[in-house]
Amino acid sequence: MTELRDFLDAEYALQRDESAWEGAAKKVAASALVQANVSVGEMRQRLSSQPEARRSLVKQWLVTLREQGVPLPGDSMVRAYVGLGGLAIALGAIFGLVAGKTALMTTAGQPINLWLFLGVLVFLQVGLLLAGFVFAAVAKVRGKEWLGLLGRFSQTIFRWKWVKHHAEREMLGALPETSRVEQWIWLGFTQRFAVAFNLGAAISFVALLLFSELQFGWSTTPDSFKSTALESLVDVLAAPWAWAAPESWSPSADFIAGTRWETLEGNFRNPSVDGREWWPFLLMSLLVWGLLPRILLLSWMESRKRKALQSLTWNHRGYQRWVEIMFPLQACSTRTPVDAIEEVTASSTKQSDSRKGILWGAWPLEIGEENLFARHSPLTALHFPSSSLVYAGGQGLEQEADIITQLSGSKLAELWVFVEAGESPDKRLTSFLGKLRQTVGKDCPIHILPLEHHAGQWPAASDRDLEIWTRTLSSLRDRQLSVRRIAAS
Amino acid sequence: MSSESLPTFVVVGHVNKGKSSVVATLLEDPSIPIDLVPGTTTEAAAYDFKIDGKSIFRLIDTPGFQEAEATLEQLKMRSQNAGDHQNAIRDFIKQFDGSGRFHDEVELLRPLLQVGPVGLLYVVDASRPYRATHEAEMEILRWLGRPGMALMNRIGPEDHAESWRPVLQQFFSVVRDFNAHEANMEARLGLLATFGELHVDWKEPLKTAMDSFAARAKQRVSASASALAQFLVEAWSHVETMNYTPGSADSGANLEGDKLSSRYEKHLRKLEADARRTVEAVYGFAPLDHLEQNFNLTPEDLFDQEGWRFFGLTQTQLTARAAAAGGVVGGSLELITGGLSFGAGVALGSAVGAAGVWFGSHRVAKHWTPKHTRFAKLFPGQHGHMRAFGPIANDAFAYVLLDRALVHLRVVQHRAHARQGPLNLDDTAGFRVGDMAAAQRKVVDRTLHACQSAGKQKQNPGAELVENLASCLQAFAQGS
Repeated sequence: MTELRDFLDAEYALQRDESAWEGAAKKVAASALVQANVSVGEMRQRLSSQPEARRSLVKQWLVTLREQGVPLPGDSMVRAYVGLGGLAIALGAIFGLVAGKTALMTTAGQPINLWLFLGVLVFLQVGLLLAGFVFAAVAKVRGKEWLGLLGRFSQTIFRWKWVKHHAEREMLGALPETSRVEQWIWLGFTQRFAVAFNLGAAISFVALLLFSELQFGWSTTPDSFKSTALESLVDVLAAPWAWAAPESWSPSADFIAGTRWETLEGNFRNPSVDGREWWPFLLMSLLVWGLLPRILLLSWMESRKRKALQSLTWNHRGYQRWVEIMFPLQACSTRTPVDAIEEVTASSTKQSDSRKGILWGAWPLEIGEENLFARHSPLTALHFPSSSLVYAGGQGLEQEADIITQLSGSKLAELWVFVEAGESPDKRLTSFLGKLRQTVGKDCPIHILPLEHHAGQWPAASDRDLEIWTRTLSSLRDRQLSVRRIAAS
Repeated sequence: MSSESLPTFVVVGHVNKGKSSVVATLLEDPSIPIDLVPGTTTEAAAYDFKIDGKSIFRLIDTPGFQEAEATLEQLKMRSQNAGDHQNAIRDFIKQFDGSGRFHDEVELLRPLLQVGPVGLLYVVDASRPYRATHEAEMEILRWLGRPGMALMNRIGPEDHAESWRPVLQQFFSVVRDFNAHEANMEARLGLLATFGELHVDWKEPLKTAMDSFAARAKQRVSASASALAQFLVEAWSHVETMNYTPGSADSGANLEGDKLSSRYEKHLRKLEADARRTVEAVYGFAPLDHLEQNFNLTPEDLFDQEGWRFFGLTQTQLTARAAAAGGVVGGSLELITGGLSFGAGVALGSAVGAAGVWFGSHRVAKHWTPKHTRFAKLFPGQHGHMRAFGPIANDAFAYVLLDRALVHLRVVQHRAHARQGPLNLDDTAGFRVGDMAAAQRKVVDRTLHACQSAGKQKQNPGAELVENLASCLQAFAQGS
């Protein structure tokens, strides 16, 4: 029942507002991560693929919640279930004892009516069992719950009655996962009752056998009823044990015919037979046709209940929220507004000799000078003559050192660095920019212009690339350093 | 397996070329930090793939080359010939470790010098053309003498693989295309198989890892199918009810209809969002945004019922049950008296029970208003005059919900864990109810009609219906 208590408490708690359990969840999550020595992602994977890991973590969480005094209904409901289970057994045993005693009632001078015994303790039991199966089959075909209206009504009343002081009963009415287990608990109650009933009847029978003398006989009003009919019935009933049990446990044809009670004559049709010899057959009938199926059914229902408890996936929506709170994934969504980047046109640049341009990276040489200074290239549009451009950032480090030497002591109006937009800025560039700043002084504007070149064309740099350049270079905290973009033509 | 003999792959490459994305996708771990801005990874970080707590292989994500030219220059200064390349790298690390200078290169090279089987994965962005500046990086990696392979990742839309391939083949024995943002399960398993070929001792553990990934994929389909089945059964059988007072101002049929229809739609959206969140969590994603058109629900798509209920039962249902109960009471009395009335007790009991409830409930219905809260609190259930919308009457709309769920599942199934941004659910072809086999379609039809019938009777459709549909969806999702 501990598992049921945990399961019920967990489902109930997850349906509640998270403020009630958030603190405990975070505490458990932190210690679980340390204990398992895994990352958040690994823990999430583990939880989604290993039911045992989920169950264990949920248990720790519930223990913490209980320690914190958060009211949970599991305890009281499980106690109620235990009580109801006990009540079902007690009632079944009492009814069974009374039924056994009634079926074995004797009238002075007459044997016990075999029909009454078989009718109440065998045929009625088999009939009820079959009716149960038919009911279940019909429910299955119609796609309905086994418990039906009565079950749901009793569940509602039960929850209201037992947990009203502990929890909100409206919420308990909506615990779908718990309901799946409960249906087997409630069905288990019926079988507990039935097992206890048959046991009670058997005890009653055995007690009467031991402490009184029981003569059994059968009779019918129409004399045309042949004993062969009863013989066939007895053969069918005795079939399960006839092959292994002593002969006396399966009454013979002569014995059956002989124990027909002749009321007018006040004795058996064959006065030499002993009516007491029916008892092994009757006891076996009660045990095999009444008790055994109920025990099997109860065991099956218990196993289904256990299976339902074990196969619980915890994949309902409350569980996902629980995981998110315990093991949140970090997502980066910071965006720099690319529209804020200043556009550059030929008229907006200072056309003077004190302008310098640096073509950064291996690409300028690889795409060729004829493309760099073609008619529609951005460099041509910005009126940068090839004489005012230098190359750096390619293979070898000498060019960078040369540029720094060249520029030292010169007074520049502005400095342009043309970069390949799709290549992210690296420390080689940022460190070079740092050296440039020291060389040209803190007031000289340095403009970074990311460019794209594709099949002889100069498409605009993508917003994504511009964002990468802007965000990376902003970390240099250089007020005179700016990323620019080519105005759409 | 000790950490020294654990197959270890160090993922290296130029900064911001998708190394962390490759690790996140291969390990199906979206928690590995990935950002647009270069330099997100500042320290080498080891990620173990474990089965039952036992490490099978390890991926080490590194910061990436930032100053390869300068590093190579430093290394050349320390080396006379190929025989002392590794010593030169050790000297380099020793000198710059902790100094701040060449921090990324030190972090990147250190794991490659560790004892034991270490392979390197050199990641390049093949959506950008090859540039000669990358040669310094490959030259440094060659100095290490580790078994390695080159992965051509794609960050942008262009394809320059042909400019890369001949160069990479000069430095690496294996060159593979691997788009970390698009790679499906097949591509990931293929890559793991290639890892196994880099070293004779790695084949077996990598095979184990591949089997485990495949098993996890099956588990995920199963868990998702259950979540979808739960959602569909709940959505298809859902009924939204509203109490009203007959004759009062707010009992106008249209007002209730609008309110109910909008409440119904809201509830369906919530159910759908919850189911999607579950599926995304099953596949290891944080809740994702979705790009798609919303469904349109009209009142004509739903059953519309109006009536009076007590304990959730209509007057006829109540009367039938009262007749049965009366019959049982009458029958019991008859049994006690030894069957003296020859069945009249049963008949009389039934008649009294039925008549009492039929006329009594009429009277209660006449005077009942939603203000009778005390009674409702005492006896939970549906009581009073109410109008109910649902379950879904239009099969086509029910299938729209199923189609949307299947499309979402398909997209999530094929989403690489390195990918960021919303799920695009509109441009997805296939994986719809129309693609189902006839037998699967039959199960879906049967479930839908059972849900409709349960919903109309205000009954819970039952766990078995969910299980059957889940099995069907699982078979469909695995087979497609």
